[in-house]
Amino acid sequence: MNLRRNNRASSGRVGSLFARTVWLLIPLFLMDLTACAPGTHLAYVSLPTSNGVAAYRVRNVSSGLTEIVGSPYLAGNSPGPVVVDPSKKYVYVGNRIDNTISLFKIDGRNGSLTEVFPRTATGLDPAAMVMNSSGSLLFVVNEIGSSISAYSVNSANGALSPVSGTPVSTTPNPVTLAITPSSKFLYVVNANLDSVFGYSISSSGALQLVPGSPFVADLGAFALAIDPKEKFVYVANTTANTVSILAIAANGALTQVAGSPFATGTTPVAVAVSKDGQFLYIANEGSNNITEYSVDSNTGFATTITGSPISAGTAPLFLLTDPDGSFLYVISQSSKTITSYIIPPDTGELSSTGQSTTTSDTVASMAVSQ
Amino acid sequence: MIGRFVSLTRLVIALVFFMLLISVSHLHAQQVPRFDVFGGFSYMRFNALTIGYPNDTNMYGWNFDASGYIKRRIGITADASGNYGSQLSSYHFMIGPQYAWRRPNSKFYVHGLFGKAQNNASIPQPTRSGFESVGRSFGGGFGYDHDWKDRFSIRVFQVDIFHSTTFGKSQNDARVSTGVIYHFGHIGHRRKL
Repeated sequence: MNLRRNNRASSGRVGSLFARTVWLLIPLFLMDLTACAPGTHLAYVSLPTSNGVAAYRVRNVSSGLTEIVGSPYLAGNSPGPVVVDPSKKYVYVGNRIDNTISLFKIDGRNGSLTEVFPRTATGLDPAAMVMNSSGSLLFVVNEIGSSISAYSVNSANGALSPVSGTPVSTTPNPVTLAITPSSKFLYVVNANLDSVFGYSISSSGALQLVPGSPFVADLGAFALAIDPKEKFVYVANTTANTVSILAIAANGALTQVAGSPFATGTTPVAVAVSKDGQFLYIANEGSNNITEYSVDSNTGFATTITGSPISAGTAPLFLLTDPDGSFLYVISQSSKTITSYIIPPDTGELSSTGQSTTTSDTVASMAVSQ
Repeated sequence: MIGRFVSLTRLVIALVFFMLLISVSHLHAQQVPRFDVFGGFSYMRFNALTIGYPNDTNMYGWNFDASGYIKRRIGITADASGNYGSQLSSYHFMIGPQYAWRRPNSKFYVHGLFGKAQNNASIPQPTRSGFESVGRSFGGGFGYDHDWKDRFSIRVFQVDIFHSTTFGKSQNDARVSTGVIYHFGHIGHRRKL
């Protein structure tokens, strides 16, 4: 009898302990269950050797990447350039061996991709693509085909229709292109001529060569970026190891600014500009670093930032700023990594976030939802 | 957040073994059911952040389990559940030890569970309707049952946390279940529940 009482007393203590533990745990569960995710955006990365497009959700506050379920999604043969439309509904991918453009619908719930067939034919070797700010026009530079294809975009379903009068033939070996924020001008780098061709864009997407084109950059002109304030064009010159800065005239014509070209590291292959246009970054594939400049907003004169260049892993090949302009993504093809750096708005001197994502395959290009 | 879930999981597992140890010295001779079969509704908070969703997501579905007691307080439970949300579904097939702390008309219990999880994402692709992944899962939980009729009890609640590895990612999901229990067989002298 005493034993039973003792057992009951002991059981009561255990029960009391258990009940307290339960009540202690419940608030912890609720805290976790109600935790809200911070703001995010989406990033899409082309993987040419595996014919895929990888999709990531990116934390705005940390630039940390989480791969989305099902990624990478199958694209065409050797996907290269990637563009996300401003409405965040569609992703366009240029398939460099198929000579087609894949249209993917973005799932609004999780950012995953579903390809919409048929693919749109384009010229030989679509090497680079840009979209105008409203998402109504898509431009493609076909490197082997030596042409620029222009497409109008059906906002209802993302489908592409060739713009009348396109493709526009270019001189051989156009390698990349960029569009001004106002969508008034399109600039195309021609590697054979070490120069930049300018085109004015009509509302229908028709292209008209800017008077005075082409505009000379420097030896090995290869990569291109445009100042967000639409005042300057930046061209990385891989052979000369320089960056050319060209001022944009009202009619779209370009002229070298005083002091241009400016010295970079070895084999500059990518250009990025900070969101406010104050800082310029050049990826040097040969010297494995990033050169940082402060750009005078009036003259375009570039001054190297203290601490520049910074080490950037192995063979950095592609640069991209995040939608907020807080981070710079650096893609290394050889190490298959996407690494992010903080862009301080006051100094522009990059510092590592410690965030680096290894991709399943070699990356060719990257785009983010704005 | 993941770290906290892992800590909670460890705490629950530690609690299970603590109760098992305690139980050795507190065996009663009164009769209790040898087998419990439970079926009911379950809610799951699915850790969708780890697979690229902007937030964790709510899922609803079913939960069945069967428990067999080898002692008044010590048993083994097999648990299966399916939960369904927008675009996602999750199944768990688990087994593990259970410790029950009995009152005249009710029962508290804790258990540890080990098994497999299968998570599915309905994302249509040209060659398939979606993606699925099966991986290991473990976790633990606790619950409270109350007598209803002679062979039936109500599971007022059961709370479980699972740590699963699917789609190459680790995630922590929380599940809450409620439903009806059917008892049969008995251990010890006859006494309610």
